Amino acid sequence: MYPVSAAYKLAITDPTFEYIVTGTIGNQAFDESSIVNGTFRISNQCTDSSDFNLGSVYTATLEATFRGIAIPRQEWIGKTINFGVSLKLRNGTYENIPFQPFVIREAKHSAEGVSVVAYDYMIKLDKKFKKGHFQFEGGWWGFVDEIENDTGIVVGMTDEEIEALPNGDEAVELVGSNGKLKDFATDIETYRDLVSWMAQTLGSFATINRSGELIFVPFKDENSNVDTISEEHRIAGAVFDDFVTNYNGIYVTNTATGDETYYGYDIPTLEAELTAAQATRTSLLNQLDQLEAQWQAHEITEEQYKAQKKLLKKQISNIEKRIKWLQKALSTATSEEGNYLDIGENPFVQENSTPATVQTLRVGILNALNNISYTPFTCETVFGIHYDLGDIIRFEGGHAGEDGASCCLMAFNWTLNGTYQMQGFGSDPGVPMIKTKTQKSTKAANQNAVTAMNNSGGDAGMQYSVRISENMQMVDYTVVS
Amino acid sequence: MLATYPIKINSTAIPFPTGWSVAPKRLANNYETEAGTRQVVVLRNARTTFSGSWTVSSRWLKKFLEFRALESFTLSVYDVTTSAYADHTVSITDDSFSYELIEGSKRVKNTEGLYRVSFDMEDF
Repeated sequence: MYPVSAAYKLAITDPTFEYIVTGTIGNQAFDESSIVNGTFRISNQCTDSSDFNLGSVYTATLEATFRGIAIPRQEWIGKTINFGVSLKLRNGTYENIPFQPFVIREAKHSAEGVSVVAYDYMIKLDKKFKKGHFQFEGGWWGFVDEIENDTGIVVGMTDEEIEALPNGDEAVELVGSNGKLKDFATDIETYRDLVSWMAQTLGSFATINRSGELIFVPFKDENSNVDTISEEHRIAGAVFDDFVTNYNGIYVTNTATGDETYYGYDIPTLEAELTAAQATRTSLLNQLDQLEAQWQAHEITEEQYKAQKKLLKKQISNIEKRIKWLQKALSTATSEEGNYLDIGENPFVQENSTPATVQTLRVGILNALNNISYTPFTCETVFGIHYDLGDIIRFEGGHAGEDGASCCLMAFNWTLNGTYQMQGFGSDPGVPMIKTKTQKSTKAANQNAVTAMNNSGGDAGMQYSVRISENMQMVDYTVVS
Repeated sequence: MLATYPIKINSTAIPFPTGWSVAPKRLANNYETEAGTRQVVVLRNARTTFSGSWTVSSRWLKKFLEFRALESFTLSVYDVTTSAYADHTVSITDDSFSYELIEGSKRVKNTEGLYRVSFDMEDF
């Protein structure tokens, strides 16, 4: 969510809204009086419209009809539209919400005015991928540098921000020791393909932020909502599904052999880790009690007390987050319901480095999916331009039910002086997303194999990856962690 | 107030009207919420329609007909909220312009007849 003031948050609870637009097309200024009513529309999304997926790279679209802008014919296409939209606050002033720059790709002259279609800088990625040219060492930052050099796009993330993403601190490479692109990466046609595989491996989607920079955004925990919208702020017609989408497995296609590997959570590992985390929390809480006692007895200075307390509180908060995560993973893993995500032939998780890295990356993607626990929805409001894709929004009351629904903003379609339509997608975990009978059997066989290994006492406390033959028999399994 | 601030069209003071009405209209999109309340996106707080009628000589009728032919002109009227002139870019709305000769006025000196003129003007 774009950071807005308290006055803005108050203004969106009012029944009336007044927006103004200020911006430029090339070097020509425009405002709402240059826009034909009802034609100024922006849309964008971060997953497919049919179902949730990881690694989407969508381009935002701006459509509008302008009148009275002094740009000669045949000079519209290629011009950049820079603008912000401001909402009137209670005190009569306006608060500006910026948007990323859009580049005009189509312009049509008609009786109404000049109708344009413009796209954000994501279109810079629609460029043929220079194969064999990616020469660098180490992690993701190398890819980011090359993409910036080759396409002119700017990546709006620091090294630390990339490292904080799922799999963000892992080493990856697509170029072999002979300096040539590895075979499995030869399917990458454009930079958009490359960014999509990167985003998927980073458990994220790629989008353009309000400064016009490429960013990778991970899917957030359903409790990290940025806002709550109640029924009196939703336009009649909202629809919420009766299920919560979650994932307890992924499939990866191994390019070399063409077979698929299933990854699921291993319950004993999760249980062991949860017990350990809970023990750590108890120990940290005891340490905090001791510290308090020392402080009361004047055995330590105030500075020491404050510094140690701060450190302990941070450790406790981290371990509590981990406990929540583990509890959730465990509940997903033990539930009979759950979707799997087919991540296909992602070149980053093939035999690109040591096999251990490949396994770590694959499990990293599975772990990133643990955050997903969203109710699919469609809802319209008269405000919303301050929200960003991937934001978690809680809906309460009315059709969202008494307990409310946690939803992830996966697509929006906003019309100036009209409505902000929000959507979130996903499938019912009770009805597995089966495309073919073979896949269904594969999933069942995989699950059976994992269960069989667990029951036979296998390597309890480990995560497995299982290979399945064409006739649905377990070929072998590898210990992941 | 009309005496101190006569209505002006393109900075020219026009004769006092015999009838004058101003109708500001709010332009808004209305939506009903799930809770049954109303939410409104206001496009413009006041798009104003001015309606007037005048009894004028043929010389002024000619001027009014000239204004009618203009695509737009500036109408300056007294604004009670600011106690000063407020400028509006307006045009005479289609089909609102009419004039009629006042019976027996042809003998009024230096007028070439008196006319009753009425028309509406609307903000852009």
